Amino acid sequence: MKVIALYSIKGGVGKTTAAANLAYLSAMDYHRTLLIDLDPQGAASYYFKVKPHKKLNSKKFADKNSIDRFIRGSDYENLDLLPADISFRKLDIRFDDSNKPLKQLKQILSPLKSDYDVIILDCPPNLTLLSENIFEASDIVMVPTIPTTLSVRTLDMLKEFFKQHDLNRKKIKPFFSMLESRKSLHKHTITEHLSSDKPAFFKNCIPYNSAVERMGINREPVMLTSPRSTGAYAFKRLWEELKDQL
Amino acid sequence: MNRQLEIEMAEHLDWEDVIDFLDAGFTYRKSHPEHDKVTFYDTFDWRFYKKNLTLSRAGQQFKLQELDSDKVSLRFNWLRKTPYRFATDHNDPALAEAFAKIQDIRAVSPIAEVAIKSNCCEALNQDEKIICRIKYEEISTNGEEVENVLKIIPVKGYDDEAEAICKSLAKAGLDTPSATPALLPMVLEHLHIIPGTYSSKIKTVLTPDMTPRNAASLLISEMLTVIRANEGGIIENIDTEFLHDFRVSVRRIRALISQLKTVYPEDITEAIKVDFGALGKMTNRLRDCDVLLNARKEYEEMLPEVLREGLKLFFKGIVDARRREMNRFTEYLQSEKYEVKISHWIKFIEKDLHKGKIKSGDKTILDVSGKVIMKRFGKIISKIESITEETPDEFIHGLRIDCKKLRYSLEFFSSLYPDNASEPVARLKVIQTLLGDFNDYSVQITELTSKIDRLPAGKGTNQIAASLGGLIAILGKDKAQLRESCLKELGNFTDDANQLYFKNMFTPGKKPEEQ
Repeated sequence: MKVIALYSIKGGVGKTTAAANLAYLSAMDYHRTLLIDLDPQGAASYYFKVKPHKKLNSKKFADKNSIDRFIRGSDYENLDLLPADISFRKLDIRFDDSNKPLKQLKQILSPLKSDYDVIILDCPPNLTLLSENIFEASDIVMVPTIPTTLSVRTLDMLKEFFKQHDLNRKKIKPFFSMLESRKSLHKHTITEHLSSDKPAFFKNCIPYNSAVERMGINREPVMLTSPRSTGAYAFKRLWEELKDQL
Repeated sequence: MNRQLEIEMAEHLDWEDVIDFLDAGFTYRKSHPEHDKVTFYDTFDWRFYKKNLTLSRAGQQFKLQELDSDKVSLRFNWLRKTPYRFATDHNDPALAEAFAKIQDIRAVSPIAEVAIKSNCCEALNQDEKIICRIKYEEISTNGEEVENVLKIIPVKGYDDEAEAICKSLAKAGLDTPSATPALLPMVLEHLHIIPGTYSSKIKTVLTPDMTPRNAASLLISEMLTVIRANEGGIIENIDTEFLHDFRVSVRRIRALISQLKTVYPEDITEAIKVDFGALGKMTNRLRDCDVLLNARKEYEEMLPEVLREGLKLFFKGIVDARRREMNRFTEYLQSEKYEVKISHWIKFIEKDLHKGKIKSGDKTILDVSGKVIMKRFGKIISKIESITEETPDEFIHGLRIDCKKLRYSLEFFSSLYPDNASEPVARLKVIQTLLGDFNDYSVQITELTSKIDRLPAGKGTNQIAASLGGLIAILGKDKAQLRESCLKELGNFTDDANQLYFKNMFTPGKKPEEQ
């Protein structure tokens, strides 16, 4: 089982659209896939029209043996969802109360090994104890990054955080998101970071694309609503690049 | 309610009626009927089925599933024009390994084709989320209806909603769980195909008071059935095991006649020996080619990269030789001459099966089998006890033949003894495997050496000679090591415990349960 987190300290960078589309592509590639919506805003859950079970809350989520009963199937074969609940804002408190506060999420996910090949985490935009749990539990931390100087600086802060807390920085796999090729700053930033032999970023970028924006209206992955859009092709290429690393 | 539910469809209802009964608390979205064709595959000897697995293809995708489950354990797409046959056809090493564990070197072929017409309806909640699927499948094969199945397929996590739908159908009388078996067994039953009936192992059960002649005819009848069963697979060139099983049965007939020499009149015995001897000989070259080709990958891995090109050229020659031998033999198998001969023996044995009532004072098959087994066992023991370090390899090859004869005897007559004499048969298998490998090394070294001697002058000759020379050196070293293992195992066979076991089990004149 591989755990992939879509994470950024900043909001509005394309985490949820990436999580939703990559989860769909993973499922279509016959991987048994679970998308876990950890963001209390519940955007990923909204995309897939899945509401949480009435009894789901942060306490039940943190109970290592009960998570399975709250998982729901999506409309697509091989793709299940654990939807978010507003009480997930309290997960930090739950985890902090326990013996091994940094390993709680890893322990929660462990029983799912035999049921899923890929787990994708849609993460809230902050840096908290929950985030540290995500870093500990994930095999890959994908960081959508808008190609601007400030966004790259935020990424560097994340790497510094990993260094200071003895976390494996090789897990961090950023990719450029919401790219607008008309903007010279975007072009310059991408050229600067993708021109080396071993770029730290995924080679494939996700463009700013109206089809992706419309996911909130259509409530379907962009591959279904606009299969020939640049956004759909971009996610497919990104998935192929990610697959090589799984 | 996690798993899908299959409901027995009432005869007076159709799909449109089912839709009308569905719970009004949800919206329903019907999709156009889908028509799928599913082909099931297995090896000739049902290796998948025997492991409770099915291999099926729909479109370009193959699925490996448990027999009575929808869970897919492996899947792969097959885009090539040539059909999928062997585990080694996979480019993905993980798939090749997984399938090799099931089918080994056997090829898969289609065993049944099923047409499924699916009518599907999705139940949606207020958010237009699918919470359950209702499917009506009309299953047919060879143009004949097999079964109609109504399935309720809940989406994970929406159990309450699925229960409500089931209740609404129950009100219409649609609440009896269907007793339909899994798809493949259901289709096979409809086609009157009994899976797993073929086996190359001897299944004939003898009774101790049978005449030797009656026992011989029963055994030969079984072996003729196996020979017949494998003809088609050889002619179609499906895989190498058809020829292997064919040859084993031919060899068994000759071995049986040699062990029970006087059961038939002398002229009949001689005719069987001649006919089946010729049939076996006709396939020797073909089998040698198969053995070499099956070892191809092993040989390539033995040699360094620089010598592999020569090996490729060598195997090209073997492939050509095999093609010629295969054409020759399949032509014979499809000839009137062969058909007349094999039919003659089948008819002879059929007539013979009811002859030979035991007369007082006559020896029974139990008496005769014990004598044959102890004679062969004694010969092996005295030969093994004479082995020294100087004993030539040819002597050990001779022992392989003696062990094979003893094993044949044990297999023919196993049903007469407790536990089917499984213990000595198992011990002999271990010895035979070692001796067989030892013999294979010798045969291969001889074969490869003679190939070097016969290489024509010309392009590629030096390359081939270098490759084969390298291979011979490696095989020679491996053979020497194997000789040590063979001698050790042969030594174990002569131990006191084993000799006592044979004496107690097979001494002629006593019923096994008295020993």
